Amino acid sequence: MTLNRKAIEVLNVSKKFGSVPAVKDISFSLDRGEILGFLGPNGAGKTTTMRLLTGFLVPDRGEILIDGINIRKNPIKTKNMLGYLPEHVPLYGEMRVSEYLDFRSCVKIKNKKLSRERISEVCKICDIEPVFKRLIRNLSKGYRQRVGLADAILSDPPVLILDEPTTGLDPNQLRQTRNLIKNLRKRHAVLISTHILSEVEAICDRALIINEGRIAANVSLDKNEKVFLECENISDGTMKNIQNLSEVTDIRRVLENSLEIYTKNNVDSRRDIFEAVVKSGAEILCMKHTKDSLEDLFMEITSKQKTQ
Amino acid sequence: MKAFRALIKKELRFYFQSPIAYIILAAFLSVTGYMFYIYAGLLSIPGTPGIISVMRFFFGGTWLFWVLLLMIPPSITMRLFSEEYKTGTIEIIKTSPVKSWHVILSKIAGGYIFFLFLWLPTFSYVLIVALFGKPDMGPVICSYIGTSLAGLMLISIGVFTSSLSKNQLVSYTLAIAVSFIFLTIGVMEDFVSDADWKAVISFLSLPNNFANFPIGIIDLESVVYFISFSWFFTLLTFISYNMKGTNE
Repeated sequence: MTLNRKAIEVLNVSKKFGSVPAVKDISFSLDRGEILGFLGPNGAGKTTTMRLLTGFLVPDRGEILIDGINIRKNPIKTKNMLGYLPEHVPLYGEMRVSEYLDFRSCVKIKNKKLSRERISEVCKICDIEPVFKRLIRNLSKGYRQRVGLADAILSDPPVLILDEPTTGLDPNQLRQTRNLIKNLRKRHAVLISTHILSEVEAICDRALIINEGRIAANVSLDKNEKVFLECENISDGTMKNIQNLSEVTDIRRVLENSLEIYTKNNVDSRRDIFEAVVKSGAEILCMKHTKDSLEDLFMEITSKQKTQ
Repeated sequence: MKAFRALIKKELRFYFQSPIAYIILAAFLSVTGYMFYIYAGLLSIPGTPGIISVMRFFFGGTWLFWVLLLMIPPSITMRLFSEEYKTGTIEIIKTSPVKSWHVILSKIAGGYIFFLFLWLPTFSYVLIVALFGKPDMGPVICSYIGTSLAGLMLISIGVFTSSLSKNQLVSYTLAIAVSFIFLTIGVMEDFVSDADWKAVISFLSLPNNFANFPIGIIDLESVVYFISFSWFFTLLTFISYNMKGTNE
């Protein structure tokens, strides 16, 4: 995968089912090493978009590029670069897990030795070794989900598309799967759709909120941690001093005496901000560390469009 | 090719692991066994022409053979695509790095191999006839060739109808309907006076194209007929398979 190319690039894609538009002129991109959360109410077009990306559906308009390669022009090559976990995890119930993974590795991986290595590797990663010889139809929902995930990462593809990968998992499995997805960041670009907002906040770098077939918001989640600052005598020097701090990602003046300072996630930079403000000669009246709630944003966007 | 082989193996695995396949096998063997019993019995009836060949009767000699060809291939093919659409596994297949042709041909190959497998036990009938007499092996071999060609065409029809619906019963019924047309269109010859139409009907009739095989003649025209229609329905399957993806 070439460094300067986007893992996924979606350009003005539209899709209709009969006369009903499912996806309307959407554009977005996904970088390597990034986990992008796909959020939206039921019927918003999340699954349709994912199916368009994987080549299961063909867009009416627009182009989709996987690592710079057009999916329409070179479907086999692009499908080779994708790992896909469909919603509801369809699997062949009559097969044993071992048979299923063997079949999938024959389809996806050319080298026989590598196939065997990858099967044992994904079994370890997804913790499906205890059910390796069992019939898929007898597996619990959680194990089915993990077999699906094992299949998605089997060929170690650079791009992963996971449609609601944590649905139906118990709290332990949920945590394991989230950690697993977080670890996937090192080797894959991941697009994940979910209804669970806290999940997006926990594992994603960015979230796309899709509503009624359109992208309603593109939220960078490393910007949702912020420090609210109220002080007197704010000068350009104050702003400059704060901006120079390495952990600060953005700064906004809300009122004459108030600033919202966005910082990197999981960093409490109040001490540094305090020193920077004092150094500029401003006087601090109040300082508070808060977090933008994705839930508030989601509700605001999806309900606003409903009332329009 | 590795992926193609894996796809065929997957189809065959389902035939030999599912009880339905054994039910089809049991039904097939019961009917062919019964057919053989009746025809062999004819030999002992006084006045039966001595030249009667049991195997010639067996292959297309009576309507029982055609009923078998009408009913068996759709029961083999009905699940091939319908099941994948119903369970959603088609999404796994369609998003895999495999060509559409490989998916379709693997389904046809899987169904066809199982169809041929069903005929294997009938070699024992040939063996029994050979034990008690001296059958002319030429027509017997030609009959098997004819049956396998007709089978390929009927399996292709079944795979095509299976690609049209997620309901196996619908796929089965459609396959029976289309196969029925090819098996019985010859009857229409008597109702048409125009010579050109008669020729068209005769050309389309599957039993007419099969007729020369049991007498030991491999008619190139008939071979082309079976291969062409198999190819035609494979092409229709390709169109249906790719259309389904865009409008699902």
